[in-house]
Amino acid sequence: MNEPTPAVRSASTNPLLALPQGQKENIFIWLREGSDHEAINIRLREKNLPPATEREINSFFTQYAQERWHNRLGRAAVEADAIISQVRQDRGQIPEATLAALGQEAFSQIASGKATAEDLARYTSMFLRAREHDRSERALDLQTQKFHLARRNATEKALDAFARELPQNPSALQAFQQLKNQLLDQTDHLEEYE
Amino acid sequence: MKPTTETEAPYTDPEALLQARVLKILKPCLSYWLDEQTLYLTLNLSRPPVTRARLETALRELRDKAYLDFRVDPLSRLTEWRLTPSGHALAQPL
Repeated sequence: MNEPTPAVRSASTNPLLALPQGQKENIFIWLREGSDHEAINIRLREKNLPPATEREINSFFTQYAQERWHNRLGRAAVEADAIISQVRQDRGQIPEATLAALGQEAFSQIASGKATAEDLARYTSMFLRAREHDRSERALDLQTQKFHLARRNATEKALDAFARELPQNPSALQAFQQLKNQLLDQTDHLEEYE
Repeated sequence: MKPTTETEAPYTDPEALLQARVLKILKPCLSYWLDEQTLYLTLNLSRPPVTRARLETALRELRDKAYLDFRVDPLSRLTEWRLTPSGHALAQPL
């Protein structure tokens, strides 16, 4: 028996719908970009795929668009849950209400087709990175403050030790105290400039 | 005597079928809220087409039977819907 020609094949035997997922997605994107019947067939030939009639191409677009839309709704909830888990795993306390709002926003964006799951995952990781960066900067500031304090204490300690070594001469001691205060004062000003 | 096999007549009540389609769309959304416009667009991707008025009636009936819950999103002001636990149980075989 001869193979049915593309013109007489019914919608249920549409060869485009039987293609692997990746190829179906490609054809869908080409059609969405405005490729016509001829252009689609040229691209199918390039990929060593059988040609399709205009009717098959149109019916493929309608059916695949529906399938894709329904899959998107299903995936939206899964992806929103995944984003919440990712954020929850991150160190730090994020209130449950914030997480629920984030999940709902992710779901709404994906379900309405305004953003893909990948976009939202990227935004979430950017948000987490920014948060991490902010925390690192604050930790660095704290470390710098500690360093200044330690340096000041060390200076004071060294000078005190030196003072103890001075001969019991009140005027020399007084001059030394002045120098010490001057030096400590300068250290404080240096901290302000830094 | 040969036993007769009774075949169940297909369910044809259009309003009940529409309510089943709504439940089927909301089922994968789990506990998330789906806005009415997206629900309307999703319904109309397949035949028979559904008017906004019919959808609203179906939603109201499902809500009255406590299969659906709704809210108005404070930011977008959109009406959003989701299945209640009994709605999820009802939608299980769909």
